[in-house]
Amino acid sequence: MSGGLVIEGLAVTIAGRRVLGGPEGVSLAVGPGEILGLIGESGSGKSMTALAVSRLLPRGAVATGAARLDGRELMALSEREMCGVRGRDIGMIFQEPMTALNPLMPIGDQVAETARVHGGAWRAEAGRLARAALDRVGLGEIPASRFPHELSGGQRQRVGIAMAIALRPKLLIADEPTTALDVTSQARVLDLIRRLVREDGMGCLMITHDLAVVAEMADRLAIMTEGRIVETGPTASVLGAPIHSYTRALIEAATHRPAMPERARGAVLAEGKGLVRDHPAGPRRLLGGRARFHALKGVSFELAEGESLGLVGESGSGKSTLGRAVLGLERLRSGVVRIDGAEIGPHARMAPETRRAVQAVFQDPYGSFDPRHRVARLVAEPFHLVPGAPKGAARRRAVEEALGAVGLAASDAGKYIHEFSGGQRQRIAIARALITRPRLIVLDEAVSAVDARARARILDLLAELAGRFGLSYLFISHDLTVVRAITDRVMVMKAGEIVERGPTEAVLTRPAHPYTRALIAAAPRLETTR
Amino acid sequence: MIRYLATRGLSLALSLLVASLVIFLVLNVVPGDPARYMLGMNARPDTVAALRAELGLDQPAAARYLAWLGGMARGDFGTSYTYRTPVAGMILDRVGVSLPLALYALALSTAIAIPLGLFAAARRGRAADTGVMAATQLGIAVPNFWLAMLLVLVFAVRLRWFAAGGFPGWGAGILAGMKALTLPAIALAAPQAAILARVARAALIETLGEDFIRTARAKGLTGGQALTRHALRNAMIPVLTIIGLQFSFLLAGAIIIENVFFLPGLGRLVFQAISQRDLVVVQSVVMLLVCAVILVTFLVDIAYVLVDPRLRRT
Repeated sequence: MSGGLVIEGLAVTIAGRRVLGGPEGVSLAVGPGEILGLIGESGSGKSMTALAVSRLLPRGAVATGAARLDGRELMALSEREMCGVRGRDIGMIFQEPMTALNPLMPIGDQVAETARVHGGAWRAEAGRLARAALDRVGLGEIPASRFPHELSGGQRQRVGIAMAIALRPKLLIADEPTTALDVTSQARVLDLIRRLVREDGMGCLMITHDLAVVAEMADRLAIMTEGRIVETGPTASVLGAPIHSYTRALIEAATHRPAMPERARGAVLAEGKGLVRDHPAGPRRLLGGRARFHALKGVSFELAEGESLGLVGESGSGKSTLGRAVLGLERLRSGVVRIDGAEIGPHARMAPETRRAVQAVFQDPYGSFDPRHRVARLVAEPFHLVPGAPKGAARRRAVEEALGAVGLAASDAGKYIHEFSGGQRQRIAIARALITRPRLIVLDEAVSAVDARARARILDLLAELAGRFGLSYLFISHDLTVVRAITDRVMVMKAGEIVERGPTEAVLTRPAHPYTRALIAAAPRLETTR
Repeated sequence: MIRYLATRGLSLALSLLVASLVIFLVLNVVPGDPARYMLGMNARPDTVAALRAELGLDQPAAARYLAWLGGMARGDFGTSYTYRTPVAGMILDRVGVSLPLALYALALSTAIAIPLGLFAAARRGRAADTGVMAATQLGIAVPNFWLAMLLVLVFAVRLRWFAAGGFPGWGAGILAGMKALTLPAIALAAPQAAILARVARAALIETLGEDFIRTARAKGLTGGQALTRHALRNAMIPVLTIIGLQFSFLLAGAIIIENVFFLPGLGRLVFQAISQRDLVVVQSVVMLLVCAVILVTFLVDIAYVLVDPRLRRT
């Protein structure tokens, strides 16, 4: 057998239950200098495959089968021998750049540690090696004495990559390396990984849920679902002529366009005028207080009745702050937000009618519900905004109606939130937003943490609800594909200012501002031949 | 960093001032007459009047408070009513026993607890971990005076390695002094070590679940290396908090142990002063202990900053 990683019949069982591999086990090969994209939705077993190969499965999980790296059987190695393989022969990059580095250790020491634990390198030599690795990943300007909290997310992910490639391993395992990054940092990190793989001739197992991310960089793809590989092949043929129905469903979902109803723009429903929001930032100066960070620098906008307005930009651009301002949750330094002409804000006296008119759906389907309450109570929560809200049987009917509107069963009202998947939880969040019969829903990265197929269904649902209830949306997202699919107009935000706005299709096909052009260029695209 | 220390130092000084005011008010102002209280029910009126004059109780409360503060600033803590000697000298002698004892016990407890916590965390969920946890449970449950008596029986009475009690004074040499403090320090340290080991274990296990531990393992560190090089320091914040609290307790809370071993420490001094109603001594010792607690809190705050670079910015 040739070099690289060869996995044959790999299976993982936990407490006697097979959680990975199905009856015949997972089989894969990653040749030297090759990038294999391992694609699957959450829970498909793609990360577990990587952990099984590096023998880092949680305690209690038993792996069987074969995994050879350059002909050496990894499954037969002792733990001590395996420690010699990790870091030296197999480098690994993980998803969370914020937590994957030790917060108490300078980045240089963390990179140098890779060299030091594998012996041979003295402190000074390991330091030089670390510096060289940091230079290679494009952190030449950053002193090795910096701590992780002093770096941005993209820079931290580069530190993670430097640790993984410092000893020029034979195999690089990248588990969702860019999922937590902005599109522009994502594009740069993907470029970097591709360059390093080519330069060092290492094999790369690239694990992701995002077809568009691997479409441009993987040589071959393996599609995984329910712990099994259902299709493998060269990237172009898998994407261009998928054989398995699951692959087809994934591709369809990734490029899905919901049928937004054609609606006439009505009167202005929500508007902001000269919104300024700032926070103290940086050290206190001796005189004159602290420097201030401006999240919003005099933003004005209008959102019409029956309109779906997109808001895009990188993290830190102020788009979530603007979303919160529209919900009346931000203490503005100046400017005013009006819903239907009535001022809203933390200190404004708001009529119940205004309060109930705007509802929100946030990103995190796991953290945004109280796990101790049943769905019925969670969904009925916004009723406290409505004087004379229905009680008893009428309330129950309203909850069931809202659940029905988002495609859930009336019996789901009696369940707890942990019984639902991420996609179902976002539906419950939408049901909660619908219950007061609002006119505007602010959706802040509402589908970003949801798998492709569930996301496609939620977008369909939003399109349907918009027509049925005459809803307006403020749709905040970093994902241009989704924004293109669901919005009529779009605003592009950068550093607290709106740099471009207009009809979505026009802005995204003929961007005028250089920042919009950069965003579009950096966004990974999935172009299929169909 | 400097700003942080300055802010902390200022709030420390304020806490001290508030504490002194509270102590003064509780002991001097409300309710009744301290002189009558100190002399008991059957005192003759002229004795009470003499003591009132001596304590300056005829002065207004504010003036007395300021005089007390000013005296302490000069190192004058007043004169003990029972012993007729300056309180400052008495306290200094006792601190010479209590402070080394507290430090000794703290060093022992930390030296036992951290390795024990590491050991249990590395073997979490296995028999060794369960054994250590059971032992610490016992260590917390056993009263330290009982342990002290057991130690005396075994090491002093039977083996005759140590004296059963008493303190020769530091004049007899450091080794002799340390030797006299060893059994009491062990008796004090055991329950503290048990608590600290459990805190360390819990903090370590929580840290071991962090992503950067997985990163460390991916670099090729063994489980043990990841534990000592990455988890230990990250688990130090809760451990430091407990160490700080324990030191304050050890300094003042050793009364029973000091009594078992006949040690002339602060705890015994307070105990005697209270039973003799010597308010001058009580007030000074309490103030001193408050000082010590606040100072230790300050030191723990500095230790946090040394451990965690993220705190250096603010």
